[in-house]
Amino acid sequence: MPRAAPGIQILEALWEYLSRNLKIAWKSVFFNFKQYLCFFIAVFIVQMFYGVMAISTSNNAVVEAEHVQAEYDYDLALYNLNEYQHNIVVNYNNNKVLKAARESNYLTNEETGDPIVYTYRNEATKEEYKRYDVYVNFTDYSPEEANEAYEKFMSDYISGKNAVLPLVGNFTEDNYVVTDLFLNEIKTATRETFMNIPVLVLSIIIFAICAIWFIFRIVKPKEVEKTFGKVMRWLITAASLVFMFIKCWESDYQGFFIITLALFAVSVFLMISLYKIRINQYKFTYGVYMTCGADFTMLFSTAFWELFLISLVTYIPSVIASTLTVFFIYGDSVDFRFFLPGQWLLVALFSLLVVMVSVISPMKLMSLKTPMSLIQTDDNSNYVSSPRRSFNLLGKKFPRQYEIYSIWRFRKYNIQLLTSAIAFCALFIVGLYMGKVYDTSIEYSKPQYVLNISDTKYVYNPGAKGDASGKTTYGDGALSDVAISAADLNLDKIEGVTYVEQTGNVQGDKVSDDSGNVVVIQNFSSPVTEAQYISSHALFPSDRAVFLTNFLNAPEMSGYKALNEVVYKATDWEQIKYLSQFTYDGNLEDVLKTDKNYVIVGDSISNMKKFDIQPGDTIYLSTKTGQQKDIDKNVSGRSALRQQLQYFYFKDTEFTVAAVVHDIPCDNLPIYMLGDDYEEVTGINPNAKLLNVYTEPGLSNERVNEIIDEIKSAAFEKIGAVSVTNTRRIAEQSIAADKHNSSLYVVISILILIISPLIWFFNQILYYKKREKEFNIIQSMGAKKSDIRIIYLLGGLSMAVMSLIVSILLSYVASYVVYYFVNVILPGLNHETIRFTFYLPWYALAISAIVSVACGFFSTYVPYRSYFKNRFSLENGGSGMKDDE
Amino acid sequence: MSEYMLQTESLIKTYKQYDSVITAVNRVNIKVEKGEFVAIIGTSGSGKSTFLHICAGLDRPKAGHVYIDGTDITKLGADELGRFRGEKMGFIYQRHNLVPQFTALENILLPTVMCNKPDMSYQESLRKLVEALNIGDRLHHLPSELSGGQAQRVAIARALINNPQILFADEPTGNLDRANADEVLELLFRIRAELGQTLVMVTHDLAIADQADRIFRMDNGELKLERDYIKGNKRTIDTF
Repeated sequence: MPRAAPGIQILEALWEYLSRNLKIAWKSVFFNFKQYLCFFIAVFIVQMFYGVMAISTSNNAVVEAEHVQAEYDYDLALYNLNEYQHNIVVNYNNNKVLKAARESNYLTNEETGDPIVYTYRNEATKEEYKRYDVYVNFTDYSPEEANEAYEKFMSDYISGKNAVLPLVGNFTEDNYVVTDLFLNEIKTATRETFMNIPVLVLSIIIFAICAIWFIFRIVKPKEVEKTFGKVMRWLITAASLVFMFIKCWESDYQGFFIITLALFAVSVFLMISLYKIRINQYKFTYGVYMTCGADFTMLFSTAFWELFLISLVTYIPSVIASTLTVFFIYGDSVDFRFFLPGQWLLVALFSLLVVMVSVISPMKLMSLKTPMSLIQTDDNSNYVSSPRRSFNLLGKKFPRQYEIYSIWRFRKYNIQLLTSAIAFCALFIVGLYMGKVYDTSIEYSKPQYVLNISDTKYVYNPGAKGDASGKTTYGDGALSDVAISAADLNLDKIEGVTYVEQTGNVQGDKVSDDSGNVVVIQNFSSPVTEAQYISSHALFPSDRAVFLTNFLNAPEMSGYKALNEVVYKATDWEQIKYLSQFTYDGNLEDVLKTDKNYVIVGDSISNMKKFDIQPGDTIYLSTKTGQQKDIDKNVSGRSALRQQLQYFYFKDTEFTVAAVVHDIPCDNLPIYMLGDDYEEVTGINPNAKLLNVYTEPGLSNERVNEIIDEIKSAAFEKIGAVSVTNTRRIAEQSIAADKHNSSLYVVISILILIISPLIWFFNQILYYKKREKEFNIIQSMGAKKSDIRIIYLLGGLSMAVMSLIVSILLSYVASYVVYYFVNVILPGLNHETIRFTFYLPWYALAISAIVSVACGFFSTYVPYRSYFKNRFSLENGGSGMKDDE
Repeated sequence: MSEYMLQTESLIKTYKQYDSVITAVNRVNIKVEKGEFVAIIGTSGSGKSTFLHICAGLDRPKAGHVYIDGTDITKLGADELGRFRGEKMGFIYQRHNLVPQFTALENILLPTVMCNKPDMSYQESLRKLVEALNIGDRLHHLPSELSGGQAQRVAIARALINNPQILFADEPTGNLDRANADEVLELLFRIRAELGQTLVMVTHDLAIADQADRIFRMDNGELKLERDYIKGNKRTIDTF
């Protein structure tokens, strides 16, 4: 017979390999359909996890894009331009970008007629304060062209060496905003490809080697083993994983990638748990396979193809279910995209990878066992009580003590079952917890506008002692020193504005003094100072500190502990309004009283409660007055404080705690005080140039635009040109996304919760099936039907009780881990995150406990019913001893 | 290549049962030539099955060595041993141990699948086995649809499909009635004679053991030569 061409031979071998494995898998799965039913459900859930995630991510992007497009038809906004700047911009003569008609406020694209530049003129009463906002649109062009035009525009007018706008008036970074959407578009269009070429080549090589190895492994296993060996195999696997990881990490979807990894871990955990149960109960088949020559690769292959086949069957239903679920989450808020082949492919790859990874460890462990140990365990002998241990088998203590002993006898099995099944209840709580994080993000009020008064020569005075309205002036009364408040600007009169807050982080540079050791700050322009930067600290009563906190003993103040993770904030009545949205004890307004020095303090650092301070407590704020010796400039935090306490001199100012705010988001412990006190403690003039303006939630777009006008008009009337940055877009965009994320986590949590009963019932049904033989034996020795009932009942009850305890413990631990991750670890890695206080969602805990207890009991009840049903039929014609299957 | 198909050196296997240690196989040495038929007899619990399992690589000894055609299988890793078992050895259990979801044919072909044998390589031996064992009309039946004798014949075919050099049988007719047992054994011996394989069989049945070249008796884990029949070529009697 003529030999076929090598390519055909490989294809034939490949086909034979696939068809043979799929045939075996088909036989195994559908012959034992009941046994595999839970795998169908599990794989379906895994695919749904990822399907919901992938499809919603895609649609979330649409939501965000639509939101921005609906409200903002511009790419670049220029704020607060004077007449000259405005004229220059609207006369911009770049043929590719702006061919504008000057007659109207809208300059339109000649070809499409779409508006390109939209100007907004502020009708200030004084001519010199007239300002314009100009909105520029580049999106009528391809992203590449838009980017070219954008870069030219920026170079010519804003950031280039001879940029025009800064030359003809004040123009800083605060005067323009480029929309995120536009930046994303040009980023995608102009992504550097050069850096990707080596990665691309590497990936092609790696995957080519993998493919060749895979094909040859099938066709000529021995040769491959000799040629590649184990090292090569691991090298390829490791290289592929590292490559994939880098590639995903470098991508624009870091967040998506992290969630994918988390879901992957959960999915693999689920599949491993189930597969371990299965192979534990059905070792016989694998023993026979191994007798026939199966090694790990072959065992892995049989397991993999079985799950692969299951994932094929569940794939389409799961994709449909995921799409519908996401559709219900997003409702009609978006032009929903049903057809997402890219995401569907991702789901397929994800489930493939999950089933592949899940069977590795169970099969590896299996392959290390001897075939005889696998075949012999099938005789059920390990489930029947040893006569030596069960001496009291049918005595008066039977069956209660017998079954209690059984729980101990099967302790390994029970522990595994409880931990794996209840771990998913704990994960359910974690999911709800994450949903709550996003809810917190939605509820947490964000400033809608930022008012910049730096151009006006006015400063915002956060309140001086003796004048709660904050109208005190500083300095010599010159224009540059005039302090104003929200009341001066009439901002509080604007309908819809709730409160105004002075803002800004510590600004300036850290520099060394003459001795080269002490770090100081220059150029403060905001009423916020971190204690560490001015070598200051706060002293709190020792008995208020919670165990394991960041406090140090204060050597010269017995009964007090020192802390430098403190931030001082100057405050006024406007800020008190802001603080009143949080949970607090005491009276916030007491801080405005003049009979004593009062402060408002938080009680947490990085949102972890650090002490139990009460209103009325006395604390001291220490200001450095001199030093004995320099301290090590390389140390910071607690180490620096330790040295400061040893070598520096301090003046301690006494303060009384007016109120304690419990849940304010913070990195350092905030201490609020009036402007005078702030100046005394920090030595810094507490003036602000930036103001956060908060508005009522749920305002219409029209009202929002009116508010901008009113804020500008109010400010222009009084103090001249101010710039207003509308941050509402960012806030609303994040809220829109967060709302969906919150629902998404709830859906995923519910899916996770379904897993728990799956594991319970699968495990317990198989377990009691095996124990049926034991019950038959003890019945043949004289045990009554009621004894067997008690055995089942005790088993069910003990599982229910243990579930309750374990579910509460595990849920608490899991929630705390997430809380710690979000509040402490992520901020430590410089990730922006929403802070929230630790709590255990009681409803989730209740659901988890109820599910665990119910599963613990009913997963025993079902096999109990089944056993007695079978027994009944046996007693009416059977021997009472049921054969093995 | 070794002179002996099976050789063991100081093979020991112990089990721990609560506080006591039971020695199932105690310093056993044996040398089995290629093509030889060795029967191992002994009382229940004497350790003969354990010994057979260790020789076939289905179980691990506590100490000692097992050489199959010169390869020390105690030194092989789990995966290497699995592949080696599939290619060189066949095993017949007392109970047929057929996989319930597979038909008779699929059960027979299981070793070829596990050893990744291409289709063409086993077609001829399959045809011969099916013919010799007279199971042609039962090939597409599930194990539950086969009689005990038929199932055991399928198990024999499964053990022989890869044309192993050595065949281990653990009381292959223990579960069958006399007539069925005789029929199965007759088929087994005929095929073995045809293929020239080495056969090591554990049995209770002295009538069956009588057909072996040598008979060993396992007693409390120790193996002793019971009888040596010289058939055809001259054989060397190993003394322990």
